[in-house]
Amino acid sequence: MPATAPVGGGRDDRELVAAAKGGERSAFDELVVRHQDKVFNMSYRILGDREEALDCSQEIFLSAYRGLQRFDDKARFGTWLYRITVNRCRDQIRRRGFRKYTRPISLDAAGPDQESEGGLEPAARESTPLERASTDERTRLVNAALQELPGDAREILLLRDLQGLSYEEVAEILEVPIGTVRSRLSRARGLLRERLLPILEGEA
Amino acid sequence: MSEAERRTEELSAFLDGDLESGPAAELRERLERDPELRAELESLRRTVEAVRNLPAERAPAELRERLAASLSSEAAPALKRGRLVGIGGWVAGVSAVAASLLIAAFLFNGSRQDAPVDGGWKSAAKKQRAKQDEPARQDEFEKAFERAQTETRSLDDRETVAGGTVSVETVAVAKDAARPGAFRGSNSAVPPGRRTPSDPLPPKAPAESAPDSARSALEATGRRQAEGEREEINKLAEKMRKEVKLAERDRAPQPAGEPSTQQEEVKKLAADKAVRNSRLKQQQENALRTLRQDAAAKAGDEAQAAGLVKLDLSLLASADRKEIVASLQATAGTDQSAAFYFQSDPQELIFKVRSAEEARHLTQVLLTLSVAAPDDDAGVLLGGVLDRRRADKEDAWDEGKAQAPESRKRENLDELTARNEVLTTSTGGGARVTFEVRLPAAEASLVGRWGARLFPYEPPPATVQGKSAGARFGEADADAADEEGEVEEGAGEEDAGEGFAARERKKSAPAPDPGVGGAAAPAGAKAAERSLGGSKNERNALRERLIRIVILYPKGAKLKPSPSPAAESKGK
Repeated sequence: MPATAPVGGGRDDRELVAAAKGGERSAFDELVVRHQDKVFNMSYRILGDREEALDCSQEIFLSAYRGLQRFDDKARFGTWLYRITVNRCRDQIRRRGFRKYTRPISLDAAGPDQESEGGLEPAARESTPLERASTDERTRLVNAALQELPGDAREILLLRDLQGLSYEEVAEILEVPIGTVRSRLSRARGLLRERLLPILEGEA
Repeated sequence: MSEAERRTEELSAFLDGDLESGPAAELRERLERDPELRAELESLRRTVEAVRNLPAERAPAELRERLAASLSSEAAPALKRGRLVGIGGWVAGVSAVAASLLIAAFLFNGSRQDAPVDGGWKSAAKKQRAKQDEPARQDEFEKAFERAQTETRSLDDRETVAGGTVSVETVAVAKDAARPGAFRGSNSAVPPGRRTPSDPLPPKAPAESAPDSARSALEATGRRQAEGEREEINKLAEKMRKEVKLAERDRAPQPAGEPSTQQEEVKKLAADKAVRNSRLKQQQENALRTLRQDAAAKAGDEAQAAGLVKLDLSLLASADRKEIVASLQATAGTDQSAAFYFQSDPQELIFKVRSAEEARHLTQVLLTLSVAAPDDDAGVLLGGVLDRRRADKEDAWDEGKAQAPESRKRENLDELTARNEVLTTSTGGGARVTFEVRLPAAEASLVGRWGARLFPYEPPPATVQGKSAGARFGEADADAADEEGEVEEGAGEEDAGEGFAARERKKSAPAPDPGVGGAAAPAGAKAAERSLGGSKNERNALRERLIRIVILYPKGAKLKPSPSPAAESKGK
């Protein structure tokens, strides 16, 4: 997201933000188009629920729209959006806890039926049924393992390894020093590795 | 940090190319020598790849549809703050009134183009001529007044949303333009001859000249604050009455038994005066209403701009009431109806919607907290209110440890401000701070489990047997949710309001009344109260306005009417 490659209209994020601030709705629409997949993907991976991710993504963009006037032009829009995303997802997870609504995802428990009920969906891929089944299963297990991680570990893994952001960007989004990013990331990877060990050993 | 953790961190950094060349080369050597380390690196690499290879989920088309719908009801970000609109609207309003003044002056002067330049208006001959011209002059005056009023009304319509005070000013300015006195001395300075509207304004002349008098009034009016306007309106109205009385007195001595057209004119003028006074009174009332609504309309403006219907729940919380159950009916023009239940003491506010049907239509909750406290304390207060929003502090809250240190509350406020959830932060007079916090729809739909905890000035002492109020709320709320089965439509409605309130009532220990200056009020609270000044009653009245909630519904929402608690209990 921090990359601001000009698409559609040839304007980069900065220009689109400026135009949106000036009241040009289409500029904000363009920003949405540009960032919606990443926002949704990130929300979905943090929350593990498509519906929740959809609601959350909507709130994220609304929040961005409402706060656009206060957005610092020197900052990167994508990074700012990620920060909102992380905060919104945290709120969402906290609300789950608040209403005693938990979605335990076990590496053993989740079956295909459960997943179709708004849970983690297997990825649809163009491959043989066997490969697809294998990939789906792997995806499901990785997702489940991610959901078992503490929130901060999941966030940092997704920002760094799924979204491919730099340490600096992750530090900016999470508002922590780079050293903290480094140590937190290694810890998160270690935790995930423990949970994925059966798969990793099987593949090896 | 253990050895294993340090090794993982090193490997992790190595994988990311984040190790400097020296340590990286050293690690490579160790990797060549140590198969166990190689295996560890490999497993870590596979872990990272597993995440990287997760399929990218594309946003469903529904997201854009929903967003488009939401955004269409949002004001443009540039206009949202309303400041520019307000100023622009003000300028536009003043310009329009200035135009109406010119028209009025033009019409008025046009009727007396033969008036002398030397200002001999009061000479006997001219008085006589003036009397002869009176009906025509009154007619012109009426026309001018009508025009000014029309302008004012249209401005009223336009400006109420944007600013709220402009209409008051325009009323006053229009009256300035229309009152007879404003034009009476015009002949002394205005050159004879009919002016066309395109003519430039005459040069600045003594204060008695009509256009300049009007212009001065316009400028002065522009500077006046709304409160001053109200007084000004009253003064002008009084002046106007005097003017009319004088005019009547001039016309009064008529030869007895000689019915003349002048007497008829007097009657007509008297009738007109009554009409005019009635109009004036109406305008005054409108202006005052605008003034009164100004503060409340602030949030409403946003709602109107967003195409939403506002349900203004001005909470009737007062210091000596422990619980308030309020029922609110729909605003006019819609068939929406909703009942909200409040439970409140000075420290705690809980509100909930009664059914999923209502929750589904709930777009957002605009919570306005008007805090009577020194600035710093108010910041602390809001931080305290929103403290529970912090994910990492949730456990602490639920365990009753959420008597957050002030530094953390401040931090919360900063965080919320950074996250753009605190919409406005205004300070006035160093004693009161108003915040508006917009809760997202998703959160609003959970209002059954959402509670705002108000710390008036300091964290209050725990008042519940062995538990803090926070823990009490958390448990009660969760219990309520469990019992009500996730507030399904229609289901549990009969229990949702009173049951909830009753449960809370049962759980609440009889706490001492923390009224203003009461025994339970913290020392800081007392000091803050004192710093506000005013009598005890005034301070109590202030407290009664501490909390105001505005619920915004989409205009098209069809809500199932909810019976009021009274009706409900009657039904039972």
